Amino acid sequence: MTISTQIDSSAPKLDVIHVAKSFRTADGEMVHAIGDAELKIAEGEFAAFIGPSGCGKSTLLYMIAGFEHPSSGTVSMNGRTVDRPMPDRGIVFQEYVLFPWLTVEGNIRFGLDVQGRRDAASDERVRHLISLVGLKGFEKAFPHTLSGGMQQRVAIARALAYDPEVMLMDEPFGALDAQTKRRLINDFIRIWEDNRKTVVFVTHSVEEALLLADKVYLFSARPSRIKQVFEVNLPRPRDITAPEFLEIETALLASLDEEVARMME
Amino acid sequence: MTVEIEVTPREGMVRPAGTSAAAHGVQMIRAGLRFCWPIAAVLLLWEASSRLGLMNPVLMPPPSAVVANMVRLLHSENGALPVLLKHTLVSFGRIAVGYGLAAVICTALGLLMGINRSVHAFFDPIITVMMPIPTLAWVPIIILWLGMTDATIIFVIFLAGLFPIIYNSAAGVRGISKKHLWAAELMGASHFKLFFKVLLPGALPSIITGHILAVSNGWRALVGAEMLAGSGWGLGYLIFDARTFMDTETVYGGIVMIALLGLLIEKGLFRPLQRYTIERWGTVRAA
Repeated sequence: MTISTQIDSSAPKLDVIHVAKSFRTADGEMVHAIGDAELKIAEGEFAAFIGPSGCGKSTLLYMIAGFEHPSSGTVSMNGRTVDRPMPDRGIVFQEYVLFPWLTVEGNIRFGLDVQGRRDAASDERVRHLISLVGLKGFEKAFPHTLSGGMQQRVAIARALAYDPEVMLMDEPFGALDAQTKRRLINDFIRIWEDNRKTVVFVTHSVEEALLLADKVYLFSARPSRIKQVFEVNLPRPRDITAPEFLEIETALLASLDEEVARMME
Repeated sequence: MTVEIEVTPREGMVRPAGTSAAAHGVQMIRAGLRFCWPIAAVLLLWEASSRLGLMNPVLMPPPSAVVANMVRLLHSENGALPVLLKHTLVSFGRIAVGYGLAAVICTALGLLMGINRSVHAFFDPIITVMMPIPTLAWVPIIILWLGMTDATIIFVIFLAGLFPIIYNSAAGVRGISKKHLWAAELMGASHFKLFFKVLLPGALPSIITGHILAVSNGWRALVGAEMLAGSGWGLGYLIFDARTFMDTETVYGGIVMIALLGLLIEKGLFRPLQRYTIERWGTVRAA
């Protein structure tokens, strides 16, 4: 048997094959969160995961990151099985998860620093990212002095700084007020159009998913599977009042509501 | 194409840039006065009642006499080290060695407990059982081991610092969120870098708390240990010895010295460290 180290160019960027995930709660109860998830995400695709709370969409994201492992099935990236966290992926959490002891600049440089990449090119990259996410003038500020929206900008820049192939985002705008959220979505669309990385974006907002994603993967109630995939072939920035947008939104909401209702049973 | 995003001030800093230095100075003086006036009031009342004979001046000598006596004890006789200064330096040296040993050994052990589940599982019950025992309860047995020596007193101070440092260092590491560790690992941090760049700074607020407790516990234990095992020098010995001669002015002088040194260690060593680290990082509320 030979093990191929070559990247298989025909393979999808991310391949989730028959993944199931069960865990035991503190009370000893067995929960089958993900029943059988199967999906393929192409290079450069902006994928959104949506589904009722507790359907395992964040858990699947953590398995793609290598933080958690499937109970059965495999997650692979570039044709190779994901078994641990590696810097070919970047993550943005809902709670920002910045390092409070580092400045804005220190946080953004973190990946480059721990990878031993300290050169003129990386300095330039950090400078570019700081202005890209709108943090010029805040380089030396500590995270706790910044608003939630600003902290999330730092987290996005931190994940982009070491140039990962895939961006994993776990409800990144979920903790922000409506106005800040709208600004950050618009800004993130521009940032993404600048680099076109593969993105996996977990959200519980249908509007957010449809504003951002190429494909929206709808998770069913527990034990979940991918119930439906919505392709959003609309140019960005998208108009939430356009008939085509409303049409997909209505269909997606109806399908999601069925699953939310099943979850309540 | 480059995308540049401007941030509106509303979305930016939530804290004002900071008040002027002059306003800060006035605030400091006000805070100082607020702290000092109740103490001054009690001392004045004491002075008056002692001088008017309302209190026994032998048991409660007037503060002015205590200060005069301290000045006398701090006066050098024929070029030798003043007596009160020597007692103070001896005590200080014991604290420095005892706490220093605890700081190095116990911080390391505490961090290890925080990192490794089995190490934690082994030491946690032992610490839980030993922690409530007052340090001074060990003094008689330590005197049997080490005699009436400096080593005994230093060992007592070490013990006084042991539990708070281990417990808080371990708690600091265990309090770091899983997501911070995940994020650092995903960005490519090796175990070595995870320790120095995430675990250590993340645990620092708790580590500092442990060290403050260690020094204040050590300071208390020192005075007790010096009374029980003091070999001629140290503030605890001074107080105990002066008592046998009914020299209450010296007893109070020693107590004042202990209070001043405790304050100096707290404000001079730990406050600047806290201000430079955890207050700047916002991982603790500014006092």
